[in-house]
Amino acid sequence: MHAAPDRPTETKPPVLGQVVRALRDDGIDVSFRAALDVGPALHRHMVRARVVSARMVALQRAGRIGFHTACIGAEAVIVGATLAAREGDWIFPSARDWYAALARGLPLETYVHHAFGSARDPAKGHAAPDHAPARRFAVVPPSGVVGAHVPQAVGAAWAAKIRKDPTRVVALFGDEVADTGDFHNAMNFSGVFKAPVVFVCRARPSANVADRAVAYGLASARVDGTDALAVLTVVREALSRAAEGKGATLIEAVCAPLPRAAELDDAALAAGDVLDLGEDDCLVRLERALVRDGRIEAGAAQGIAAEVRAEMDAAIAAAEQAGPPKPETIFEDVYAGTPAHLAAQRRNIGG
Amino acid sequence: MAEMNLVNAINDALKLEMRRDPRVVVLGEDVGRVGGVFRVTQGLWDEFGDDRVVDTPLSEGGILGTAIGMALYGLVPVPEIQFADFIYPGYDQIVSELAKMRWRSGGEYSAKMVVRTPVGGGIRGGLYHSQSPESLFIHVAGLKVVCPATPYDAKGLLLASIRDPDPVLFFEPKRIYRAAKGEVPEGDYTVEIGKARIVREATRREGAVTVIAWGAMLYEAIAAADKAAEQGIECEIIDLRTLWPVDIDTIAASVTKTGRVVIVHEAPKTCGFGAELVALVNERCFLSLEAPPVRVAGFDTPFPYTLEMDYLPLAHRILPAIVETARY
Repeated sequence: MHAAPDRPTETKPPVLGQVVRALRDDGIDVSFRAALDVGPALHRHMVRARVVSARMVALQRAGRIGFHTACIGAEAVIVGATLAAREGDWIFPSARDWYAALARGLPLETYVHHAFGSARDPAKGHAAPDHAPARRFAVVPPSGVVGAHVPQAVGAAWAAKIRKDPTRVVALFGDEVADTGDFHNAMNFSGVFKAPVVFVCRARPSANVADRAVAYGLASARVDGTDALAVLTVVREALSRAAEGKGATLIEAVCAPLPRAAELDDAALAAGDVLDLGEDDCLVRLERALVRDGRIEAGAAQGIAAEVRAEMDAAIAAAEQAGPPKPETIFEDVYAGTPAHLAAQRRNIGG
Repeated sequence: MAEMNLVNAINDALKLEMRRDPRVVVLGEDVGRVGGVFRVTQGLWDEFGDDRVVDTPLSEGGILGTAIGMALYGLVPVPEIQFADFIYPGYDQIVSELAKMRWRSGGEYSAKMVVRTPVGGGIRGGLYHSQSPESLFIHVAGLKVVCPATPYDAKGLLLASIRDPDPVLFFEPKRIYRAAKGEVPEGDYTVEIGKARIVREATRREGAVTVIAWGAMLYEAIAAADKAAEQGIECEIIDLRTLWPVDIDTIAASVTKTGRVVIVHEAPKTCGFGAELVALVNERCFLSLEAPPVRVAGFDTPFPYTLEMDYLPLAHRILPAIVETARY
């Protein structure tokens, strides 16, 4: 990791190092072994995220839900970064990072109710799938506007600092966010105010997002985004830095582009048969290392996947049975109360 | 009671609420040591320090985006946008994020804050320091929009806005920042959001005209009404104070009584808030109307520098509208 200069104007730009990797062909790099205790949890969550996402793609194709931002191939970043945070730290995910809320404890059934916009959707059918609120788990609902949440993450971290709370904040996003004005605002404000925030960017190999940290006086790291142990370790280090008052870190988690939904086979998706997407698959890499280290048994993923598929079946049935929210819920939560004009319009709903 | 202008009254409200509620923070461009471009936040930094009165980088999107994060976390930010004309770089954060946070999270989260910003022309500011963008925010579900015209209302409405659970756009009519003076109570009081004020009541129904205005144009409406009185035309003047949610009951009661209404605003006429007010009046008071509702507004042009007094709906443009409406 490259430390942020105390006074950026007097410091030479650091030469950015190699991509951080924990998983090696001959085993796990010794300096990452501290993360191994979390290994089985990482693996379980990554399998779960993959199986759920595959099923959601299938549901979207079948027209049973409106929308899904698949996370297949990005599980190591999303799960690694989320499990690196402590309980009480806040997470600001983008829509594709929807699994962060589940990794934090949002029940799968609630997530599916949200995807179906059912009467038991915590967002009351207001928001499209993958924008679930999870306040109980300190996860902010994703925005539909790419990048809009990143300056908000800085503000939350800054507020924690003002209040002298130990809270740290993780913002998750893809490299397309680095093109937006909100990205610049977030980096600039976090640099100026030394906010305890860690930016975790899922990035294509050619993106070069971490380099930009230099200009904002932020620390940065580049990590293998298909290596969950490395992601977890690097994000943990950055969170520790934030807790010490050293400010924000921009982490670029390099991973190959996600397979487009169109490339995934319908039957494979429906069956959840997506646990081995090749040598570069983050799931395959973690599983191999954990099996070799004796942390999980070979084939553990199949067992977890079977459980998740059954859980999904039940959740989908429950969501379809719950039906849509009552029409008047459209008018709830526009304001804290119900102003007269909304009360009048509410009387007209349904003719 | 002390005589104050709008600037003093708003400053007094901020100080009072920051002393009362440690969650309240002020942020914006030069709001700290300098005290803001119009000196509205003067003295706050000295009393409350760096953590609560924050000079930010020059970026409205950054100010509003980070303020939303602060609000989500539990602070009550009062960001200042130096001129309403500069609010557009942060417009997405207001429209897509601030206004919708409670709704999109099913009530789990809210981003309660008060965005303070000076509006209106007549200060030789040209097109980038003179706009009145209220209808752009009234059209967005989830926001409240306030615009005081007197020091008393400015203090009471700002205190009410900071304590309101919903995000409030607090528009300050900069032309009368120092010109509008009045008695302001010391200490705590609020003016209810959503309640208009009848500035002058019409004593008789026959031939009277309801005149609706807010902000700096209230004083132009009063001046025009004084001139109309010389011609024997009585006006009932309403200062909206809160633009949204609008106090349609007060408007409807007045127009039902007079049957005539003239609406005054600085913003361009087309799709300005006057258009919505006319529609609401038609819905509520159609059978009471004695004349078509009339709007006296800014023109559908950018705001001019040299000819700003020709652009603004000043008393000399309001008066003929009142007279024609009275004699229709």
